[in-house]
Amino acid sequence: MSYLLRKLGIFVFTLWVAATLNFVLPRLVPGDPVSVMLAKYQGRLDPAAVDALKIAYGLNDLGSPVSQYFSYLGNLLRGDFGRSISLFPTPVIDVVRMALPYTLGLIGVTTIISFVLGSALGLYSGWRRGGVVADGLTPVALFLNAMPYFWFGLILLYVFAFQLKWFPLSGALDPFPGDTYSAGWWSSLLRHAALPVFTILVTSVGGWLITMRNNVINVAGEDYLAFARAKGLTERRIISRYVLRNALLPSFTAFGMALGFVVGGSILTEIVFSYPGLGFYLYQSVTNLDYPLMQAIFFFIALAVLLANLLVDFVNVLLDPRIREGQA
Amino acid sequence: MNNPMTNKVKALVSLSLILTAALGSAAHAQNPKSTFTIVRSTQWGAQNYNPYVPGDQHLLPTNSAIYESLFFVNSINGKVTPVLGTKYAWSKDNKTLTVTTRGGVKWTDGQGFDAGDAAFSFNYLKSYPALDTSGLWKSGLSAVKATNASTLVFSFATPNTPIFQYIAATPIVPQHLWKDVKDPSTFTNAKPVGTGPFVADSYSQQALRVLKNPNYWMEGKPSVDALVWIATSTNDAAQLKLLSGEADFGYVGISDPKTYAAKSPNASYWWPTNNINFLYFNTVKAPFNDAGFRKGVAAAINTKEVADKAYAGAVAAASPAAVFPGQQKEWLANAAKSTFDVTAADKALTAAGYKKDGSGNRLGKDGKALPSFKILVGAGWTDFITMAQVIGNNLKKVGINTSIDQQAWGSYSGGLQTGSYDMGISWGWGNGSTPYYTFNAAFNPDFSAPVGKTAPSNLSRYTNPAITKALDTFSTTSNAATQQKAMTTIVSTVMKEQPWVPLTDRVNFGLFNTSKFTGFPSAADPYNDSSPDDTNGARLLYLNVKPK
Repeated sequence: MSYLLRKLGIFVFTLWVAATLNFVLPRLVPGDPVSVMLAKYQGRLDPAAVDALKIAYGLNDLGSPVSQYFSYLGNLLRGDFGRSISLFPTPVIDVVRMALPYTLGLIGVTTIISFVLGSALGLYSGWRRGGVVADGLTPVALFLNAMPYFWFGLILLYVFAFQLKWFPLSGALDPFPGDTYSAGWWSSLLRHAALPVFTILVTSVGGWLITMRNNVINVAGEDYLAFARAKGLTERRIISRYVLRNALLPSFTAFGMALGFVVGGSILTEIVFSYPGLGFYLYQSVTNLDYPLMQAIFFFIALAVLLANLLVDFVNVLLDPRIREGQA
Repeated sequence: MNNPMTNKVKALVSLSLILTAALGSAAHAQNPKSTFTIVRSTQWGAQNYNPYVPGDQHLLPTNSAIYESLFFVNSINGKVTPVLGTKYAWSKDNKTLTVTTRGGVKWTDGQGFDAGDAAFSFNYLKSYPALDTSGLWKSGLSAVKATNASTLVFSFATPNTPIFQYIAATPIVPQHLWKDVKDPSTFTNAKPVGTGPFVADSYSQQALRVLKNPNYWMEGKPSVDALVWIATSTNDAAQLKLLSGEADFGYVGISDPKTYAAKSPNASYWWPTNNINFLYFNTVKAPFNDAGFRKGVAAAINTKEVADKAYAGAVAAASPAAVFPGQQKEWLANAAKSTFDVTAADKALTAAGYKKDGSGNRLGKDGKALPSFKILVGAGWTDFITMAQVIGNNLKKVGINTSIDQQAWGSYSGGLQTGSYDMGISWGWGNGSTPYYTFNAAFNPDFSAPVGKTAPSNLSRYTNPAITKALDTFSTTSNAATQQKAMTTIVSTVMKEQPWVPLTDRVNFGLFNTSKFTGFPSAADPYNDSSPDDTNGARLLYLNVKPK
């Protein structure tokens, strides 16, 4: 119990540190958002507009950094992230709400599939060590894992979307896909997700595969497996009860982290495929010096990573009796 | 709970729900016959049809298809096209501008438009300074009144004739609806009512659609039934949509339009000049505070080479006078010749007191070696980086060392505006239908600031009483001859003092796919300035295109 309490304490403290850094860091970037906007208009906006924009964005009367910090923390507790500057006057929370489903759907689902598929292949590859297929999987996995995924994505885009026109070039949906959740809408969504999903899967399965294979090989050498075999347990029982459970533990921690990072989206994938997720908006907010949006997205990433870690800690208690006994 | 009556009611309710859904989708399914598709390389924000939203996030149809302004002023040649205004005149003392508004125009809710709506719109900007993004009420305007249903009178405390460009472009909104809008900078205007050729139809993150306004005041127009905007996140993706025919028009700054046009017989572009790329000198820093040094540097730069290498021959070198090609006939007394001459530059620099040492490197006036100067450009902007490379090679020949300083947007614009740079490449931070806008933004003391503070647009921090006075003369008269004389003073002073080097022309990036429509603007038919899709120049494009 004290283990869980300690973890919870660390969680709250880290979250506060993250929120504070989140306040400080964007303010260290040189330049101010109104100048960036004036520059972006490239002469189409009269310089006299600076005053108007400052009033509109509430930048004309900011107060001292200290009072800014406390009102920032207060708003954070109330879930008020202010209004986006680059997408003014859209409230930041609306932008997040708009982008989050796409990121969770694309990156989240893909991460889970990738973990399950990679771990299954890794288990096979480790357990059947010496077989042609099992050993052949390792170099293939290493090769695919080392491939830069934005580059792989661009190639897929060129061949399957541009040359063959089997898949759409960009976006998450057709311009007019029909009513939300109708059959046409689903088919449009899946067709748009196909290439990004495939790109992430192909380039990330390898990592899970290698980790799992190594764990399995380690576990396979343990005495308790020899004992289990000697007892005459079935292969299936040995794998599910003894090998998998032990080999999965290290992978599981990494998986928790990966799930946390899902919220940040996959910036490069989302940019290559013009996929309107959080990573895409994060990139936009940084280039536009959109502090409120930047802060909100960073905050959600920090929150998700910390929550995922906390969850992994909790689940580990269930999975690993050593932690339960207080030995770890 | 098991009351049969309730179940019956439930059944009825669900039946009617199904019916409504079916009818709704039937209405939704009546697809417009001809749809003109526009691609953008940036994503838009949440649904918001407010034409006054400060910033670039009014949904695109708002300013170009739904709302109309008084006039359209073509930035490449200064030509004025009437829209809701039919004619305009300045008084003798240039303190009154009288605009006649169009009769017989109706808002899309059926009510009539008159000069009162226009007067209301301008006064509305006065009550909400956050919306006044052209600074109309800070530039001498003192009152706007409708003296009758078709006459609109602008009064000025101090004359300011160049303001006409901004008055002309201000969107006009219906008084009967907007008088109740109390928080206009965050108002999302879900049901926009305008006078424009299109009405709002649907919004999603993927696409925006507007449909033809059947009661539009211009008879028989528009010729297309709908406009659709689609978004990509990069220029390359947008270019692919244009090539594949998924889009008919896009305002996309790709690096090589000639290659784009060569890829398909239907692909074409029109990139008319309406701005200039400059090499700015930070004139508060030595040795750039010395006009002699600046002139030597300027003479050493081969602007033709700069333009050819940066834009693959699609864009020309800029006029040394910094006047756009379409405006030279009107504003330039004699054509300005290029000053490029390496030998002369070399001699000029030595004569100005910057001698060379034994190894050919140039020394400062104090005899110490000059440092390597940084040329500020945006990170990854290939055109500007190429320019900086050519300039670096050119200056090397006269013994001046440079390096390229690539910075992200914030640091780039911040560096230029706060004066922390040596030399920087950027566009003209003002531009318009006469050269006044370029020079006013660049050299008006009002737009300068001490080093470390943000100068809105006087990036070189150069001011000169002769220029300031001529700018003032220009803006307080509507007499063409007086304006021409003032402009000659400005142009010749700037060329003599050389606070910048005009490098290359800068263009509007209209890309077209002509497979389905005709009537695109071109050099032969410049009815607009190849305008961006969300400006009131684009409205003319949407009115002119016809299905093939």
